[in-house]
Amino acid sequence: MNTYILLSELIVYALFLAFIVIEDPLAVVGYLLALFFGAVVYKKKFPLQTQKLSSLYADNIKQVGLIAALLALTFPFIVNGDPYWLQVINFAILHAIMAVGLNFMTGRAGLICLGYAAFEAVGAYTVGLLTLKLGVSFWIALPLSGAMACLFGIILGLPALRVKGHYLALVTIAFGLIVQELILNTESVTGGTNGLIDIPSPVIFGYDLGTVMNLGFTSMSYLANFYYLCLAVLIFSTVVLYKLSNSFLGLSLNAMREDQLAVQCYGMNLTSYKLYAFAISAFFGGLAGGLYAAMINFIAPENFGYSLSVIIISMIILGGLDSIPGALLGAFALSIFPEKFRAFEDYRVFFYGLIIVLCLLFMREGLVPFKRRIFKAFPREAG
Amino acid sequence: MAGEVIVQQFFNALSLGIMYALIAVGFTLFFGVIEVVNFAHGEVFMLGAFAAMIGGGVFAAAGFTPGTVLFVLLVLAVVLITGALFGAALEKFIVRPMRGTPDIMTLLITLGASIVVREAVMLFVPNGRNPQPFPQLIFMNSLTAGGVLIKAETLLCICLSALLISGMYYFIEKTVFGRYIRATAQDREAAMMMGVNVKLVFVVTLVLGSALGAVAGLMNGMAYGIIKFNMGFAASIKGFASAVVGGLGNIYGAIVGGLLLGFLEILVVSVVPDGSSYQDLISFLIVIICLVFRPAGLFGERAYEKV
Repeated sequence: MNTYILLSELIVYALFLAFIVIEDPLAVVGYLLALFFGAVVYKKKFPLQTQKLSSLYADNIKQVGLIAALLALTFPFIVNGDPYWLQVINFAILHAIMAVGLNFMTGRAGLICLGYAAFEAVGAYTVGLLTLKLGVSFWIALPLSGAMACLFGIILGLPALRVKGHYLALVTIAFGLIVQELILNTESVTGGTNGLIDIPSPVIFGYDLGTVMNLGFTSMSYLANFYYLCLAVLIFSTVVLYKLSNSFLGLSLNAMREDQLAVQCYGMNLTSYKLYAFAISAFFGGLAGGLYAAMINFIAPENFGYSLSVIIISMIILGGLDSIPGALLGAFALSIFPEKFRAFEDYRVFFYGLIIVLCLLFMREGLVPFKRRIFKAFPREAG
Repeated sequence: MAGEVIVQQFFNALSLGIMYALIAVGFTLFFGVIEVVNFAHGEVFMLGAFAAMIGGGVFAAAGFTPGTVLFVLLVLAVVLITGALFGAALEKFIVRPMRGTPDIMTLLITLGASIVVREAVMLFVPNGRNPQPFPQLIFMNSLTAGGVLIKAETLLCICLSALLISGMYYFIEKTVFGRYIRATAQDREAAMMMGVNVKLVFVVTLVLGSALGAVAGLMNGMAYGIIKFNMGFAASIKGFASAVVGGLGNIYGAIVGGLLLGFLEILVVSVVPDGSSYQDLISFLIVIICLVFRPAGLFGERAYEKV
């Protein structure tokens, strides 16, 4: 285990915890500014070390992920089971799952999607209806929520195959609104505007995740259970998407993003690749929705509106399109920072819009820019 | 009875369709000339309505009598200027810096801009979160002919739009600057080499399109009497949909597309039982069907990708 990685991640974690502790909005702003300028100055003063650290991270990505996951395990203990922060972090994790999912489609494959919230809605309603109306176990319903979203992804993908760019944006917006309208108008099944209430919480080996987590020496809000569940799903999503992004499929999608005509000339079947991108991306949106339904116990169509799709988009833009660490960072930053400014709750969406505009004007590559792969040599013999 | 209902609905559909057409013309102009899909175009629609409301209030306070021709003209001028300024600002701060970046970036930034504008209106206009009553601009009796009742506002809107659309037709087809615009749309580089000031063409295009969109907002306020900060979103979707149905880049296609969408929506609402809850779905379905079977729109030319 590399000491530098461990040390630097510990520092980042400590800084994050310090951020949670600070209450006063002005102090928060000061703290963030100090961090930002600290980072900029460090990068200017020690360009070599920065470079070294970033290549260290890039070379040992597995270790970095492992340490981060281990540190994340301690979080509920550090906040001492505080329901408020657990709730905030749980939402951040759900957003992160969606952000990495959307990133696969919009970042990696370059297919813009402005209706991603629809997939979360599909997942949430799948879990909600299956567990509530049919009494199916959550553990069966959760993968099904992903599968159902997948199916919707393919349904969206079929008309979207023939269009691109601007038209795709229109089709995906329309898709998001159509799904929402359908949920609203099929009242007998989905409960319409009233939504679904009392969705049962998952039970594993007789242990109900909806009950207080009692560990003998300490007891924590039931949200701690969901924290670990969501974290597990996030780790699963990140690992799967990371592998997929670097697979032949991911690279082909990357090539497709750069030039559709060129890859077609090389014999790539655009139709199936685009459908893969839609289906895979939708799957993770569905998973996030399934978790959401089980955690909140209540779902209504207005939770999955257009603004949610925009929020997820702004997360991946802030983080840097096509960058998985960027998507994670963007999701956590945009989910957690606004919590510190609850007094300015009304300004939240305004702030998201501003972030999109400013990022695209001044920081087009995002916080963690996507690193182009450098081919050292052909790993295997070609042909 | 049935005949009267049909005539009545015909006028409803006409005023709705012509409103969509005015928005769609902006979308299609921007796409044809600047090659940008401006997702913030719906906001100019909303801003137009708010400018008319605030302008109307200010003029009434300044002593102009609501209902006179002068008053209406003043409000119209305010709306046009607001739209034009918004278009110019959009060109300067959003569209121009993004030139040369991938389509997806321009699209996302206009999306961001639309959110910023929408939320800014909600936050900074007094009581902006709630629907605002739109002041009555004209006081004329509704026309009744054989049991058909037509609001004076509807007639005024239809006439005004017809006037604006013909004015735009004249500008684009008959004037020198219109020729520059058409040349830029056809081939930007060639137009530049012929000495067309392409930058100015871009600004004028955005100003023109946005001003028309703002008037659509004014019409919406007059027709429904209530405006809200988030009305631009639906308008932009409908306007874009109309432009797509007509073929993006084709101005006359956009007008036909807008009218088509307006008529189809009213048809569904009045014929299908409980159709009003599906009103929005219809336009989306039409767009998706249109994109699948005729991606270039009804009047668009088949596009071939340049290599």
